Amino acid sequence: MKWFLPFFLAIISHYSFAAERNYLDFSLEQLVDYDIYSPPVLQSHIHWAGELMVAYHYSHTRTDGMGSAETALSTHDVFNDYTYMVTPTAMNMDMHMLHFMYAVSDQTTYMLRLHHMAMEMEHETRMGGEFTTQSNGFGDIAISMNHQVNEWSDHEGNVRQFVHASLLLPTGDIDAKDTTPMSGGGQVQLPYGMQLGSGSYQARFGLGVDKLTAKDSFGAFLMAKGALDKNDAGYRIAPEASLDAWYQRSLSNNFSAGLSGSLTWRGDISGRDDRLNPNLVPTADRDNYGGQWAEMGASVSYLIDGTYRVGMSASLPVWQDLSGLQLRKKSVIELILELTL
Amino acid sequence: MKRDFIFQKIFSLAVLSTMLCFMQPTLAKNSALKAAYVYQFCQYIWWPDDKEDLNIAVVGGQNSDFESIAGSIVDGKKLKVKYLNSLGASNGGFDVYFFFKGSEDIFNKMVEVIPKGALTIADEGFAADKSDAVLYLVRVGTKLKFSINQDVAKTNSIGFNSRLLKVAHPVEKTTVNKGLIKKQGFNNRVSDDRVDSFVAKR
Ligand SMILES: [Cu+2]
Repeated sequence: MKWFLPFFLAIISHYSFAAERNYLDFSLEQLVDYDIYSPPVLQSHIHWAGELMVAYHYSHTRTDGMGSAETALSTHDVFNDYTYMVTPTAMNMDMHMLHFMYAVSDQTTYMLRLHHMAMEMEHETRMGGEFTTQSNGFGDIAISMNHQVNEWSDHEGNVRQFVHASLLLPTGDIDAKDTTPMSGGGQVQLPYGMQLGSGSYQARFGLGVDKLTAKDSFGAFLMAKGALDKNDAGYRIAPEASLDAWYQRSLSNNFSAGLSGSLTWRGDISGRDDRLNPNLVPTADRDNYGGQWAEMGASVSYLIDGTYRVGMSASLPVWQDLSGLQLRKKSVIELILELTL
Repeated sequence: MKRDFIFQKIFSLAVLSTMLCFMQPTLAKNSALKAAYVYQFCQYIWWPDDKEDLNIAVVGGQNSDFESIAGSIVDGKKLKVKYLNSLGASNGGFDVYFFFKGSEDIFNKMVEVIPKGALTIADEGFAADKSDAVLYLVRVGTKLKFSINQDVAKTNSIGFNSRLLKVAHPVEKTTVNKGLIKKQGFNNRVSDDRVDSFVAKR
């Protein structure tokens, strides 16, 4: 819980230093080139007062093959080195996200996020059998705020500072069940990673900075997220922290392309769900969660009529260091549709 | 377990109320950007030499929108800002008029009292007759730009520095939007062929 404190203090202190900036330093040429739309990065997304935005994101995340620390392991390796009866071999997650944003002022935008997930995990047993488990449903609803605390301009463009705060509500299911060859036709509790929600209230805080110039924009965002307490199943999901950096370049008035990089750290699950047998499959053992990931991505975005934005992005891990034994991340593909009113 | 639950509720409320603290009105950024445009325009217009101050009328906005430029000096001339929100006897006699989106009615009524030689500027998305404003802001892709109505400028004997002409977003002759423009309440006094020549390329 202690990690909350610095973020909380940072937000409060940023707030008290909030300064006005003006555009009078801009030349006429800079004014006509100034991007009045926030770059297509959700964390530093703010709108002009009164604007309403609805955004739909679809993402497909693929994990494939097992690994431990930085090493990839084959199914054969897993059954040789460990005593588990079953190992996952791959997992696909399809997520549909709906964001509603409303700007109460030119500095503050509130967001509501709803998302639906469908997960599918493929397994192999020690005897050579294969089976798949599935779960799907709505996840934890998030209520968020992006607030621009500061903005100043230099001869090249505008620098903005942001704070982000979110409250995630435990609306997602933590009792998702499915049948397995070992369950004798009955429904059994699915492991932590196949659950749709966290079961706890979670808070997320972030600090960001970006710079918008006539031709490009770039920025970085630091975020931390954690559950406030254990859920009804007796565990608390792993806290997470990430650092994102991105660069966007306008190729025309409407078209932009970008590159991004991220570092993610995920801690351990605390407590345990007693409905799971940690000796059966790695995913049921809370020690096989957490790790560190470095990812790189590319994106394109096209603005139609100043109202719609369509975009696409893809990212790949360039480095991963996994705690215990778990699936390795392969790729994330995302499609974005935004409507600003 | 019960204590945990209460703790979660309290912490959640704290996070939510922190978020709500930010819900106070702050300086409008879009108007600050528009004010900066007006500031630049004042710089690139040929004003009569004997002018000491530039009186700016801001129509239809909040009463603090152009605070950032009020009192600034442009070319030895002091910018004086006045906010007009309704029709009144004092509506004439300004050097610059800025019309915010939503003040179309006032604009159409005021056209008569605006003195010849005054610089009129219309906000982006302004639905009334743009061809009666000398300059108007326009959204192009992700940017906010401006266009010039050369003919209106000529009728009003307003001269521009060539830099303003160079940076302005070009106005292209088009007839496609004519019907739509009429529907949106374009001034009836303007003949169709004048509309043709003043529709900005979007
Ligand atoms: Cu948005």
